[in-house]
Amino acid sequence: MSVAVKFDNVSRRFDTEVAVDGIDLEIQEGEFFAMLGPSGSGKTTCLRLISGIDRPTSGHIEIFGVRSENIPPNRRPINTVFQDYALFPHLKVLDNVAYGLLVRGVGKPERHREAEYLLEMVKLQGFGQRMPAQLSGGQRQRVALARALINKPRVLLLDEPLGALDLKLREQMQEELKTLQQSLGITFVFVTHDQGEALSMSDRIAIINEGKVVQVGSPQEIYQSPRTRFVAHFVGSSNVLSPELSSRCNGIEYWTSLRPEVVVLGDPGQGRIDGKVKSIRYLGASNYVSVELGEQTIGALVNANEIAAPVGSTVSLNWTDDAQHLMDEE
Amino acid sequence: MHFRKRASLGLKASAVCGLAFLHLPILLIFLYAFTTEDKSYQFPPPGLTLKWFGVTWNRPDVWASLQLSLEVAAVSTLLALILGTLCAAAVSRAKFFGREAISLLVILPIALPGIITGISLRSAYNILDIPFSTFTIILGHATFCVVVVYNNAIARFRRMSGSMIEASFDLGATGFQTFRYVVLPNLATALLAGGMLAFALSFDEVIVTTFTAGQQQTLPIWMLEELVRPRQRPVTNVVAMVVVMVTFLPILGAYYLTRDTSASRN
Amino acid sequence: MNSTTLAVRHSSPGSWLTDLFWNKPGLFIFCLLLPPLLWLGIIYIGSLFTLLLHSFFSIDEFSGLIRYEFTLKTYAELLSPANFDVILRTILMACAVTLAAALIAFPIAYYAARYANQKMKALFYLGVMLPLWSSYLVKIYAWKLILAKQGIVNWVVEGTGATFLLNSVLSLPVVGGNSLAVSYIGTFIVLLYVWLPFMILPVQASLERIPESLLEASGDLGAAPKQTFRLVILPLALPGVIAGSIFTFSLTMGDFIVPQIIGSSRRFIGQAVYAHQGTAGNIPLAAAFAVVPIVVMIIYLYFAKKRGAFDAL
Repeated sequence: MSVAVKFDNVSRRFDTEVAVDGIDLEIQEGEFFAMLGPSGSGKTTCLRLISGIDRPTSGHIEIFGVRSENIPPNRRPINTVFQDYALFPHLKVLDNVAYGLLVRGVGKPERHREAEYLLEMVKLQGFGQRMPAQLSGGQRQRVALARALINKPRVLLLDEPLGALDLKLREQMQEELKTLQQSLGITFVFVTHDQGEALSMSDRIAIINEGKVVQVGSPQEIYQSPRTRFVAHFVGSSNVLSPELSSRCNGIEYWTSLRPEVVVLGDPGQGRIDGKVKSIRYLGASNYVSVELGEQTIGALVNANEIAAPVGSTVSLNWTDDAQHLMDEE
Repeated sequence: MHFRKRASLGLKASAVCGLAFLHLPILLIFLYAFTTEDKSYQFPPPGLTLKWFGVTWNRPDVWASLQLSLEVAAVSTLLALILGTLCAAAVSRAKFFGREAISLLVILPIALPGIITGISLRSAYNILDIPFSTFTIILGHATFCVVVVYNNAIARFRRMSGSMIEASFDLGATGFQTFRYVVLPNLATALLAGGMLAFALSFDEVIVTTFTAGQQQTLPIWMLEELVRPRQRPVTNVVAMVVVMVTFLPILGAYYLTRDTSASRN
Repeated sequence: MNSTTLAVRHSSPGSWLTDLFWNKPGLFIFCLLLPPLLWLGIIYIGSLFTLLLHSFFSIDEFSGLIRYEFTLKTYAELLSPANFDVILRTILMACAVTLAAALIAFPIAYYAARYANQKMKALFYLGVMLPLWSSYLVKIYAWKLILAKQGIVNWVVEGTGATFLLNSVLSLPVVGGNSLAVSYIGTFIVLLYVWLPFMILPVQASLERIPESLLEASGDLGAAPKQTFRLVILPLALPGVIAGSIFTFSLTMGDFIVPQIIGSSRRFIGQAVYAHQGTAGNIPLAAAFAVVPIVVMIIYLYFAKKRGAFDAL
């Protein structure tokens, strides 16, 4: 495997703010790579830097080993599915999809044949003669996908492509995208603020916050061993123990993350620490029990058919040593 | 909801009266074009006739003025289309220092009274010793026509999703191809509308023209002469009616071309 | 295939220009702006500058030629009683026309914005746009027909026996005159007619921007419709009225054709500019006169901007 996209100390500054702040990153060829972060974290700017729509203020971007800061987007082997789809409103669906071939001078019959084929691939056969305005959100998204794929890009960039879809459609598209990426074998770079989406689809995830890469790793690594407090908070609802609390529980004075599903509730005095049940939230298969420990609370995920201690009662909290994870302070 | 339900009678009446005030005088022009009276503006007309249309048709001075007006309007519109589109493209595409100053600069020739533009050009021609000609008229007309094209074009640029142009580049198009296949088709109706309005504006302009025309007569200058010193009342009546009809066409056309814009804004 | 061809797509003809502009986005904007800026900068701003320059020159009383040396003499001439009267008269007329236009425009705009359905709205829009764009001279001509001695107004007045009413109006000092066509009242009516549409459009736009929910909220909080109008609608529509007043005020101030054709012999600024530059050849005095509306408009725009009128344009 070779490196598809490489960020080498890349920064992008706008007038007053730094959107991307000295990022180093390598995206491997053929992987499904997610950039996960809150809105305004700089992840979309990263995508625009890869596509060439935006240019770094400093640093280098290498695409398949070639320094590309000076290569405009039309000459990069990369295509984008835009967040608002950016379909051309004046062109039929078929011509939208065929656009990439049109500008390369491919003749009409051939580019229409190819476009039909791609429409079929995204399950939109027969929609070619419609105008984009006549399509639903989900259909537009598929057209945008087909249009981006017609040039056979080596990297496909997807900017929050599922953000505008409703839940059911989103889940269906997640699966289809994953299958598509595997069958095409090309690199997908996927920007999202939805941690569930990133965890379920990607091979690797980069967590981005305030223009910096906080952690890169597989979904398992990110979920189980968050490197910083930010990652722990942002990916899943993890408990974060302050150094002071951590030292009371297990004698290590360090920021510690603790996943709610590994916390076991017991009678007072039976565990590492005692606390008072503050609230119980019913989540279907399980209950989320918030336990108050002075200033902090720790959440525990308890099987719904277990008899839970009532609100206001005192319980003990326990967990195994390998369930907790030490983190950087950030 | 109850606010929208029904307008009070007073409001309705004043709205209708206001609109009537705007329209009835223009309708009157149509009546006078057929009057048999040729020495005064008598109302009601003593009789109706079609003969003044024939008289006007055979007037070489009217034809010459009309031709000059059409020439000036055509060239000015063309220049305004180029300048206005370039300016709108630049202002809408980038945030750069002095964007507002540029908008102001474009709007100024029409925001300040026409007489300022007129006397300014007049004094510039005086200092540079430029003799009056068709060219000096066009110089003035193109300057205040730019804003009409600019306004139409920039409204359309703003409505165009910015990522559409980015998508075109992303899919491999060069700048020229992007202009040809994406920008122009989306801009075309706005430019047509802007061009039509610019044409109507130039065709009808009289204030600036009085300062820049010298001895030449555009149709509005011809009419102005008649207004100040009426000699050919019936011919003026007919010309006035023709002018109303000629300017209505581009205005209606421009309205239909951009009406989805105003509808989506509301 | 080497790695470069895989990493960079082939360039199509003309793509070197895209490369250039992509690498230098500032250059692209500059190229776009250059022609319009040159045109407006040289022809328009340059002309305005020569206008300003001329206002600092003077005319030689004996030869009648322009003396091209700096002097404030021409500006001093503006302050002579006769010339100052012209300026005052013009500004008063502009104020009167603007106020009247606001009063007439508001109900039309209010009806179109709040009560008209989609179809009626289009009709109103056209109903304002057509008179706005239709020929300026024809509009004045129409009023010449209306106000003429044998015209429609006199016909109606005689027919209804309201002659004494018209006569008493015309006998008013200053604004009256021999007939409507040669009085300030006539000038006022025609100026109002010609520039009224420029007031309606911005007012309507500002009224349309007021969300329905705001009015519902006001009603919900116990305001009677009249109170809602006074406390919510009027303040929010004010920027639109000011935006419209920029046009009516400026256009009235610069008009020289309406008062020339319908009005008394007493001049307005526009007529003074026109007369001085014409046969008299006194471009310096014409220029100094023309500077007055510019200065007035700059002051006007400054206050209009403070009230947020520019967002309503």
